[in-house]
Amino acid sequence: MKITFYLNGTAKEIDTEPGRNVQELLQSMGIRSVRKIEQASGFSGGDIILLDGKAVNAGLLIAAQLEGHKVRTVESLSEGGKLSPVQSALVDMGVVQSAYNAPSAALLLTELLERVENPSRQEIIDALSCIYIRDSGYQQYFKAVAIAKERMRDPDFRTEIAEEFREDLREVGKVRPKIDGAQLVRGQPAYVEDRVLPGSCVLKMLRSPHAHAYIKRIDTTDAEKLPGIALIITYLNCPNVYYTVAGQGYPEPSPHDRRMFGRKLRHVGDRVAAVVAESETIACDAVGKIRVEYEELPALFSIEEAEAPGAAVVHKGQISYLSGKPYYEKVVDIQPDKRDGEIIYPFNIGADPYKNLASSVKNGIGNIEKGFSEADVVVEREYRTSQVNCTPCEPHTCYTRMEGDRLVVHASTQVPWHVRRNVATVLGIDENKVRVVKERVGGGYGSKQDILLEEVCAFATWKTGKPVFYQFTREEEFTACSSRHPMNITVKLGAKRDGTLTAIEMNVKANTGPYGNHCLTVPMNACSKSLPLLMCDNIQFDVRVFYSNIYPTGAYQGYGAPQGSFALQTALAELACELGVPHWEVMEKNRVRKGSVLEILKCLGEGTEGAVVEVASCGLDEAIRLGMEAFHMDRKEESGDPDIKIGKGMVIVQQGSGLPGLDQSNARVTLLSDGSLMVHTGGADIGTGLDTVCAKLAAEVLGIDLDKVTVVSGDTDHTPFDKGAYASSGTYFSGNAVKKAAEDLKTKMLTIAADLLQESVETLQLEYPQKIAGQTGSVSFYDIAHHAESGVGPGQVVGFASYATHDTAIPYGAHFCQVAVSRKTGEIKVQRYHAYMDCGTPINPEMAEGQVYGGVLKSIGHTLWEEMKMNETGHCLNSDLKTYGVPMAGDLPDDFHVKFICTDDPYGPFGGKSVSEVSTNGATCAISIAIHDAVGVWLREWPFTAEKILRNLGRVNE
Amino acid sequence: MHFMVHTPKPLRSTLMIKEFYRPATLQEAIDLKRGLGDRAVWFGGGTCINTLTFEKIRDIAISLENLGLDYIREEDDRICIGASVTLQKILDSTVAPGALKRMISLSMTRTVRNMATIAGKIFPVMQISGLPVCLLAMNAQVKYNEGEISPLEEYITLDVDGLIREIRIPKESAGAAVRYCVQKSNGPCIAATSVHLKTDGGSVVDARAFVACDSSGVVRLRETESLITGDPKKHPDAIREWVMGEVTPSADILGSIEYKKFIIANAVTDCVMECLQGEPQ
Repeated sequence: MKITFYLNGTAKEIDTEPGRNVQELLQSMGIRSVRKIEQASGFSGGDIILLDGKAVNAGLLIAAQLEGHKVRTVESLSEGGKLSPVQSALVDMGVVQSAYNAPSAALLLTELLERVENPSRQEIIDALSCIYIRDSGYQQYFKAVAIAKERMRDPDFRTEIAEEFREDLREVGKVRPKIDGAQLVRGQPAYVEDRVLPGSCVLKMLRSPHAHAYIKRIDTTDAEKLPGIALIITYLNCPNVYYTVAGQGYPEPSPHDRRMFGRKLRHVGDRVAAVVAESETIACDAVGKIRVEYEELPALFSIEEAEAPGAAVVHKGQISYLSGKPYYEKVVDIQPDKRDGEIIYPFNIGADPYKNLASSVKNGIGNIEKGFSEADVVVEREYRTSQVNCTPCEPHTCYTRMEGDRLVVHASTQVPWHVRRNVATVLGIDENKVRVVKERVGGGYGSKQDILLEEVCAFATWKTGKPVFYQFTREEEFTACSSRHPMNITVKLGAKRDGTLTAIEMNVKANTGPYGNHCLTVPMNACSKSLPLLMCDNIQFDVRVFYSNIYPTGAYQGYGAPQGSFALQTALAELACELGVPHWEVMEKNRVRKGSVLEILKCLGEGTEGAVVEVASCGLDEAIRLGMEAFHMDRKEESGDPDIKIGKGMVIVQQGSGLPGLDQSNARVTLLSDGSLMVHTGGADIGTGLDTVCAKLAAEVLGIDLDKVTVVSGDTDHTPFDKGAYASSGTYFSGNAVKKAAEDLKTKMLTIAADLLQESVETLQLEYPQKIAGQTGSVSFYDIAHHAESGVGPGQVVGFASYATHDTAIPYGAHFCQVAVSRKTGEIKVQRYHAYMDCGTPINPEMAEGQVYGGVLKSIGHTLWEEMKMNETGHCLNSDLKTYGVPMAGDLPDDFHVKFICTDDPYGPFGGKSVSEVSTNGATCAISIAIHDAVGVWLREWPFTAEKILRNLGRVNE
Repeated sequence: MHFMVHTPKPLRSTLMIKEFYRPATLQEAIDLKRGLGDRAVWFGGGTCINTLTFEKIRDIAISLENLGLDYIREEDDRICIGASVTLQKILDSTVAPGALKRMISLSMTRTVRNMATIAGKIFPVMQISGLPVCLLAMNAQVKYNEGEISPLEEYITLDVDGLIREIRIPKESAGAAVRYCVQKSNGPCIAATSVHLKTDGGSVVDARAFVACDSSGVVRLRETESLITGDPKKHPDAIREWVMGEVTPSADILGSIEYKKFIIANAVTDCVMECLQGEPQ
């Protein structure tokens, strides 16, 4: 069918199927900005276009509907490469982060401002109602609209974007546009899918329909007969290598308990076969022709089922240890089953897999019995958390191709170096044959710390020589992707009448699901990121983690801390209730402060020995003071509606900044011939602005403008090793490496300058911009580079540094909230939420704000709505974003506020600590406490649904 | 022991449309449909047809775009809305009933409102739709094919697959109360309810109460209606009890049967009280 329409003002005539999806059609016409977050839902955005000036979802249109109409995409907004007022406002406000749907947001707000001169808050929410933004939440969009509105009148309009910090510094702590912001908001090629060459093969996966089963027989004959099939991979022809999908550093704490394909299937959606074909259609047809005979096994879904005596065994394979021995007395009469494969432990993690125990650890300080015996009041409560999905906008995506005899992996990953190691290991090739290019990442939040598709894609290319593209469907994001561990946490607290804690006991039982990636470290983090908030001489924790047949778990922003904080902090509030003392007074009496010595951390190392830590910086004093002032915690609020009750809650939170003693980052800063700089860092910017952090740090050290610094990152061929983006390590590890490398370059430049000026280094100083001054004169960076690269010079000037440390920088925060609870409907409305955060020096203040808003909103999501629901056979019932319950613009608190308490941490780069993960740890406990304050019931299982409220209030019966 | 042959989901529902017609007149459209039969589907905004949740496989689309059905107007004692009027146009209209606008704004995002048409949203596809609930309470009529007119309540049971030309809302019943129950913004709907009460001298002489609470469609609460009409006191607790006794929601991921009954009962009761207080939109 011939269709004529106008695309960004130009007439187009195309010959296409009338039913062709417009999102795909536009992509095929080179419009990369119109993306697919999920299939044709009209819910999540990403595919927004303007059709005759009205915002619509391209994914809901078919080609025939375009006939005679005018289509506008984001590509029309930036004339001559200049950003439009809306685009520049979004970049300046720091909301263009992972940015997969930033072009859609720009279009929606452009349409809004063309339609409404002075849009209200409600009109902005309405415009954003059709777009899903996970990274920065939605709060900063209101101000972005106001700025855009002004810039439509005055293109040079400037205003305060966010609070700035550190007057003594030029770049660090200052608002600067994210260095890749313009590229992303324009919708220019940036993501893995943008690298796919015409003619590439497509990979589709046949996944298990059973939660627990063996493959008895698999027949791919009919599928292989289809024309266009390049390869079908099953357990019969895949590499016989066991590994973990967790992208973690050495020593790897996760067991190597999975093979690319196995005979044993451990969850609905587990891999059965991969089809690589010339087109998506052929691949899907072939998947439908693979015949599989299964032997179903009893499936386990809960911790109780998994730990019950006589339960089915999820991993009954051969067990071996690379080092160390199991600590337990192994008393089992179960023989390994070859069909289960193997489990290889890099070291002892307290596992007993034949009892479904994936890992365990028990330790503590002081004397717990003595502590409880000294208590006047003891409370013991159990808290439960459900499985939560990361739901990045950009699905997991990989594209692999050969370049000569080398394999190139374009990945949307948080851990390029671990991807390279994993791919090389599984394929049995050397790492020099593999290049991993981390493209821009459209959201990860932990799930892209796991290597969930890269090794299959890589194997397919290695075997066939063909380029292969694989992108998860949204359903696969739910059924085959890592998620937050469900946990049952029992907390027992002992305290004196005045609220002084005498004993803390924390027993964590976690459900790791089918595989053990992160099975030791996430549940441990429930303790290590919550217990050090409270100072107590007697602490004991017991962590036990079980295999089951739920969907896979792994890393998710907060990494166990949201669950641990919920349990421990709510228990503290319940203790205060028992004592008849305001919660904040008990908190104040026991909380951590600057200079506190955290003895408990010596028991909580992640794969290595822990260490006692003295808190070097802590902004909680000011954070709590500000929150108490803003919320008047001792004042009861009334709604004016007898059915609506108001309550308030507050908590303190912490996280870490990378893993001291485990992580390492490396960086190189090169002086270019004209005196500008090139930074090569292995750090993986996953949308958080790490590249901008690195550029700022180099610019700050070397007295150069930010636009004269270019950052190349996350490419295993061209940048030095980095552990990756996880454990809140980016600013602290990757940033410190860049800062050290810049300092190394500075030292070398001073030496050359001393030679040129015929002075000693001691008399020289670096001056902004780009020069070194001595007593007799000065030389520019250009002079230094020119000399260094000449025939008599010492060679190109390059600074290099490796950063590893045992120093710990802990970010803190105090979160305050106010909720309105309807006794009539059970509905909970978060009216106010303030996050007072100490992340040291906020290096990118506006982006840091966005990450806090986004982190808080994610945690409001899992507190109130988000939950992966399964039926009795282990099938996910809500594997799309709408029914799963992600927060949207209309779910924002009416009063949502982030405030940074700037502390100058002695170990962080220019005092910077981590910011993103810590933000997710407060909402559940703050809201739980506020609900109790409002209606007098304690909710001890997230999500806090309206039905749970009504049941607790006795309005709805069991 | 058994074989399982896996059939993947359709890659794109949109692949099913192989032919697309844009008739210029109503008669041409009707003749086309008669000639093509079940293979052809009326095509408004396409938001249902273009989604994977559309179950019926048809491969010919007959567009309403050029049929002149994009109007909203008052005619004597009724409000007439052309079949291809988008929901956003209804929302922007000064003529459309307030309750209809409220239901639309509660239940759909702006981009979907910009695409979806009123005729396309009358038949809920695999999910709860607030629009028919509201229109049924308002006693709306459907004008279709050559000009036949049926009450919407009757039309949706006819299975005529006709060309809907116009939705007619009697002014006397355009005032209704609506509730759209969700747990969060843009979340899946637990229930949509709408009530219209006709009063005479302070007495309720006629009641129309409708609920959609699962994918099976819209239910009329006839017992509740008769009790509302017959009971001069209309105590909210009594109405709640009546509704809880009449509705039969199913348990799903949104909640248990007991919870849903409680929520629906509250929503219907609120609608009734709003109507009684003379504040329906």
